[in-house]
Amino acid sequence: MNAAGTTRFASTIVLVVSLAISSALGCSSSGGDVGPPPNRDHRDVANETPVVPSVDAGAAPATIPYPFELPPGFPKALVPATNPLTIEKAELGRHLFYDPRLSGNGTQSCASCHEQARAFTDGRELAVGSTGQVHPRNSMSLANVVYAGTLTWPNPLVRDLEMQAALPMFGLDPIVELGARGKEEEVLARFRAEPRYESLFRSAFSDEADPFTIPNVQRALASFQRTLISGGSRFDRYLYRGELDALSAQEKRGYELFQSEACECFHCHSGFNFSDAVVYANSPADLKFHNTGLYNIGGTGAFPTNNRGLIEFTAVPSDMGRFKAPTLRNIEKTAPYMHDGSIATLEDVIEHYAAGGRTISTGPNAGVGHDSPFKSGFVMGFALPAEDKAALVAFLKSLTDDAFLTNPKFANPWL
Amino acid sequence: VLRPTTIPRWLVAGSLGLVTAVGCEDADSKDTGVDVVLDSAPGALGAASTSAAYLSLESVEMLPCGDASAFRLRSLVAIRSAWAHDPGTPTRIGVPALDDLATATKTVKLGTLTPPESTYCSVRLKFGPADADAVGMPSDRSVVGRTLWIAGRAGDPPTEFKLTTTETRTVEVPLPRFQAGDKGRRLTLHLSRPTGDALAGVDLAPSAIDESSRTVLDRLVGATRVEVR
Repeated sequence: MNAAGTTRFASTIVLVVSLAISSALGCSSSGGDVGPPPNRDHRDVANETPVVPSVDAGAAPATIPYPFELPPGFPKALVPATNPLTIEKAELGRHLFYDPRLSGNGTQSCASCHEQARAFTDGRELAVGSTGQVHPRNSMSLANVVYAGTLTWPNPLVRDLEMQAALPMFGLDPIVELGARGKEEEVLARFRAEPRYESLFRSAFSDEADPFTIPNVQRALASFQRTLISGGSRFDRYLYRGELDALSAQEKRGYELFQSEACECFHCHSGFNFSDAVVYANSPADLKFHNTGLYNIGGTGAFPTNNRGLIEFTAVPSDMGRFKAPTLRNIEKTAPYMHDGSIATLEDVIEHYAAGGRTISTGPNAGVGHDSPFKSGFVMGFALPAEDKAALVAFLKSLTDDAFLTNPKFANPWL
Repeated sequence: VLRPTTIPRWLVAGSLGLVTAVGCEDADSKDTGVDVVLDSAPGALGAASTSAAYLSLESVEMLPCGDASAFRLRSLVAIRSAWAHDPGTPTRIGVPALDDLATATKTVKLGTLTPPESTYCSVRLKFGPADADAVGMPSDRSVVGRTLWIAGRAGDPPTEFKLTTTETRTVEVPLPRFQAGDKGRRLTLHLSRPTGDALAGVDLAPSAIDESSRTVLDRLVGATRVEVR
């Protein structure tokens, strides 16, 4: 094995061990309960009745499988067999998602960075944790997160929402988010003291003597997030319901450009979720990350040191600056854009891709993104008249799903 | 490893055209090229009155006999998430084309393959969402992004219906063994879909659009015929 290979191997080992330790830490707080379920052994749930945990006769009522009604055009979603999706777990998860008692200092909930009206983003360039630390990355939308092949922007290893939930709760790197590490029992005690949670936890995990555990918190949060399906935009009516009048002529022109080889948008933002980083029943197992030429510091292809993308996990030089292509659904509501929130408007995003990369003239990040040696070949740049660029933006705004943004099933239950 | 194939459409088309042009000249002299044509014919949908009916064919690929079993293995997992079409090769035409099932009988030449000398046993066909510049795209661009698009009227009294899906399908159509390449002769692969009743028994209500579209797509894809002449 050469030096690069050794480094890569060592990095992989460190990552795997780190994740294992992270999971173990999350578990230790729950009295030895099981950790987050692995990504394997998922089941598709549409058109199939999920397995419900068995309960003894005379015990608490059995849980009810969540009625997963997928919009036209959406493939069967996957749910871990170890955490079947039920109405009770989703409802518990909704309460937890909006509850600041989940954070170590009681100031932040998941919703602090994932607001429904913003398609579960926060409107900030960079997320801010419960202790005031600034995250190096922009909050990601949770719309259709059940289909996310990987979670977070650059990490290829976090593939389960159960596992992901542990990161903001207990993670210290890159920042403290919810800051619950070391305060697990304190957090659980808060939940035990809340009358609503007594029935919510016991309904969701009716076969457990003490359902107040951290893994159950993770399972419930994951369950709620899996219900966040957005497929009711005007574009969906156009493409998946055949309503040709649902889009204006300008929006149709924008979609045509989006789907063209001239603009290349559809290669990475592909399919029903406008992202090639999706998994579903019988989907390919490959994971994709892309460098869009956002930075090329000093002409070396480098990204800012605190935010270098996939390379941080693989140590492969060509993975510099590669991040997941996020869903474009509700993109109108999720500004600012890119992994670091460094582009303010959709118009500016179009200009970025039209230029084939971003040029930063001065400062520590100066460089010509167009010339990055690690840039995706799909980011070639394109020349479009202003009306066509406006059409692209109009099309992107047709992906807004107002019903999703206001659906009471996803709203704060504590209000 | 994850970097996608990044051949721009114009380059693919240009290269294919160049290969075709060179191949044609070569093929004309040696008479060994393989033309691929799509024979579209209305009526494949049965009794329904259709105002538009299109099926998007992403790529056509000749498979040497030795590769057939390997392909069958791969085909078990070859459901793609990306909409990108395939790059063209001497045995593959990767430029999407629309099969017009509604308007008129016509034959569209998709291109000319210049396969290496070998014995071929099957053709792999991929169906998937049409790019904006797919061959045969109607002027209203209504098929962009769709694998199947059918609009019309059916029932008594006739009511409007629409079927549409973006799902992908890959099929391998077996053929009698044939020689192609330098020692072969000039051939033509005819792709067609015999008149049938793809809509028979299909629920055309708007609420059933997803399942019904999937059913019709499967029927049309399954009915595809390939003939070597």
